Amino acid sequence: MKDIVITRKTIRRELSILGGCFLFAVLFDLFAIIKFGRPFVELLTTIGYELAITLVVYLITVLVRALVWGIRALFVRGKGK
Amino acid sequence: MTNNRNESIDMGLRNFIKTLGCMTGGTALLATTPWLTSCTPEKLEEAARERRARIGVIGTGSRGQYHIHNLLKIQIAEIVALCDIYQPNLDAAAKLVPGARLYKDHRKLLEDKDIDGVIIATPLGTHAALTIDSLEAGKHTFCEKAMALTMDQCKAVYDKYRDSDRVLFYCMQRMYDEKYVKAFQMIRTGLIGDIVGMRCHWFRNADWRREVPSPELERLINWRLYRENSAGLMTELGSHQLEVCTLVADKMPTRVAGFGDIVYWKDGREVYDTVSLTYQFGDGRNIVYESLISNKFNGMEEQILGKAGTVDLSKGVYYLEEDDLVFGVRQLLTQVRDGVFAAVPTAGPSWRPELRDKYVPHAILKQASGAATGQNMIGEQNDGSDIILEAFCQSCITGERARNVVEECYSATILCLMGNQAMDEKRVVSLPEEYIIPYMKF
Repeated sequence: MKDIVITRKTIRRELSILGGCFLFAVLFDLFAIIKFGRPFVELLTTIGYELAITLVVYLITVLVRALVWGIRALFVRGKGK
Repeated sequence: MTNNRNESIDMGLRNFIKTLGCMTGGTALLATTPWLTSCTPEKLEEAARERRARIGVIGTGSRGQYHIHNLLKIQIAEIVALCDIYQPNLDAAAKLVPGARLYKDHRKLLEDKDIDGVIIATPLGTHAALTIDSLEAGKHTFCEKAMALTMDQCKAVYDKYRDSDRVLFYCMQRMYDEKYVKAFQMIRTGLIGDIVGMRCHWFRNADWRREVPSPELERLINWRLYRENSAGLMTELGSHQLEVCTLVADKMPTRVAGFGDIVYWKDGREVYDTVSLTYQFGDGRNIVYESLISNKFNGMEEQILGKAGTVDLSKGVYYLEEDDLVFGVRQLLTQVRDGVFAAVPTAGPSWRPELRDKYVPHAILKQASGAATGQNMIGEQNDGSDIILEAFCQSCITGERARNVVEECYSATILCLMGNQAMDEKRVVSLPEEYIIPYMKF
């Protein structure tokens, strides 16, 4: 069995994407606060929503990247033949 | 007598009344629930110093024994006499109160000079005659709901009460339930805006039958199933809920239409097992009422619908149409979800279903309590009648009447009987003028 090696570059990339997702969640929350005239303290009190949104968006990026990787792999295999 | 007084009655409502009295505008708030002014904690203390109320119980079946258990916990009450025509029930009650005098004829009990107050827990068909006899005998009286089997009997009881100086209570326990009282006041102060309608239902899944030791006792023991003594679901269940509606609306509906039938329990019973009615107020607002005893999915609910929100009294919660307490992010997520999943491609926004789950429930009583979850009305341990029973015992000592209790019971019973008439005759029934009392507003 081969060892799975996760490189520093991979970890850094995934953390950046996760950070981007969290930023998106915070901006989403901020937009909601402005849209519905809610107090800004909700940015803190709804941290649970923000983390949940972060996770959902991150999972979506994983799915999209897996899909792109799969399609690309098919093309590469086709060219190889 | 060896009454078990270790466990005293819950003081929740009394503390609530005390708090209410201390609040800014508390007197005005109490004025919206005037029946509570006769049972404040201060008056209870005063009554307790004086003496104990000597109580006789007429009807010692399951409900009578339930009251006996509650009375044994009330420090200002002393059960001195018991009466029932059915010996096994009398024997069972006598075991609970060993020193009590026993009677098989209620008139003998009423002649007993050492009784201040009488509790009547007998079949509905006997309520009117027993209440009138009790008031004539000079006894303070507490009767199970509903008031009577016919409108004429209701009027006779009301007239007797009006001409008497005795205390009369009916077991309309919602009037003494903390969460109902609080909700009445919240509604009056505009929590849900203008009331636009009411929806009540009570669903159970049980046949309402009791085991009968011999066939000749069928109509005596299963009295709820036969019209000679029962008006069915309307008086047994509906009376509580219609009373809540008239209290909240502060007026009487003027007409009713509806349908009822024996849909499932075709076992020889005479009263409907399924009823569905609409009561209409003079201004066009409706009470939609439904009850059946062959499915309990919907349980019991009393929904007061306002332009700005909804109060579900039985559950002790309210919902607001535009809820300030819903987080912005949650509102936005709901909009996104509706945009993705609830879009109707052939029409604009007016065709979109408005989903119930967007409403956030708020507790009427903030403190952690069974009241907020509806347990104190429908729980097996306690149906809320202990507080009203204690208020009655207090009135037996002070002689102070609880305002509006009789009038509310009268109004609710009349509505129930109008509903039964509408279902029997399959027509719209209006409130007969001869049964209108000065208390009623339209």
